Amino acid sequence: MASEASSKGSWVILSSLFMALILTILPLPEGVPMEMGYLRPDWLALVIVYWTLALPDRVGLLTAFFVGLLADVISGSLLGLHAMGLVMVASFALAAYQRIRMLAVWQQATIVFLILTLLQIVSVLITVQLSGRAFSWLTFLIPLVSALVWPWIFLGLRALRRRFIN
Amino acid sequence: MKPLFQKRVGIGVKASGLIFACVILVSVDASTLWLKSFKTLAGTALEPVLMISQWPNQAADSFSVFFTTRKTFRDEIERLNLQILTMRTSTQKMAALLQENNRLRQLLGSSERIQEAVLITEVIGVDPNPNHARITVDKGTSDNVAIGQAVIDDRGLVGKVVASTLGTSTILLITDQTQAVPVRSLRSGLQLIVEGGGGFADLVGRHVPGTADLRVGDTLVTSGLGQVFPNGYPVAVVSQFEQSQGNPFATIQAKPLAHLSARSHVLILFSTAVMPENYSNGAAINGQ
Repeated sequence: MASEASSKGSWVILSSLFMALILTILPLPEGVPMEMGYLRPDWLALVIVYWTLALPDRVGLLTAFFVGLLADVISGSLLGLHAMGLVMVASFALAAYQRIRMLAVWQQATIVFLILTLLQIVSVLITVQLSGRAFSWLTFLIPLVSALVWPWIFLGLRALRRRFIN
Repeated sequence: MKPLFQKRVGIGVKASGLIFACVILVSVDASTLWLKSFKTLAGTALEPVLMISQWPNQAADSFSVFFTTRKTFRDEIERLNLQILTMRTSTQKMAALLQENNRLRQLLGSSERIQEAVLITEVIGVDPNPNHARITVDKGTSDNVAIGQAVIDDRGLVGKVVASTLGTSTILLITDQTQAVPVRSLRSGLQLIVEGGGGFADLVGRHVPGTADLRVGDTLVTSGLGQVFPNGYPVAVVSQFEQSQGNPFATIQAKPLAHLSARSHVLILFSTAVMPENYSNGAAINGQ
């Protein structure tokens, strides 16, 4: 897979992941209540899902793992927490990418919602177990908001892919 | 030619391998400090990304400065000059009082008050997880910031340093769920511990009997017990004190005095007191 075609437009993939990382840590404007943070979509998971569906030969589990580690370091969470979530998301997408690709965008959004809810449950269980923090039920707004954002991520990244990659 | 329906072998194996690796990482990171130096190193390398994430807010700030009139700035300068004047007047006798206080303490046989120096830092990031009350500031180990140091602003206690890279430090706010501060009431001298209620909002006092001498409006200051936070810094004002029948402890809520949600400046305290090694370690583990 080391042919020329397989590295074409890698910068598009990398910069979309970088943008997602920035959006993940972007501070809310001053004065906005902290609970608004629960309305922030899981940008990294959405972008990883898109690229694993579109280019499963190039973006996969290892990409998800390393991007997740970056997110862990930069957001100061337990090392491996984001990485595990993104690897799970990517493995679901990779296992069924041929089927998910065939679905309409709103159906894909439903799949995204289900995958991210599962992910949220796992990460809540881990955080509650390891750090003894109480969790807020508002956490489950994140998959919902992410699913609502999915169509735009999908259309935007697809336009970029068609323009720069294939 | 690439086959249309490639058979992917080993996704499950690869995924479970990576997830297993993550589980190991998470549990090692949660229970030991082995990964601390790696996190410091990687965090230092990723500082530019943190800076980039500040651009939208900085742009908004400079936008509003651009559209502020000259007159507003003039008024502001005048107001600040007046403020400096009043502040100077009220601190004139500070040095003399401090000396007198220390002399009296010597007479009483207790140790001298420790002088604290401060390092002014700018808030450059807020933990994106709404369940964590943590901020990042722009001074790190290159300015001798160490884990466990207390952080204040112009009104009161903000939190403590729980992690630092070369140029940034992470501060756990007093309102974080995992943070507890030993305080005493300024009016009655009652000692209690307030814990973070989560978010930026409130502190909660636990295990205080309903008959305790505490009232709404009491100022709580750090008691210095536990040796993490130095003695005497204002923390919060009691906003609720209720006792219910059949409950041995009162319900206590307190509003932090420090302006925790403001994205401005905080001060890291440097004291001459030497903390035992295990205190800073404990702080690091609590900060996770």
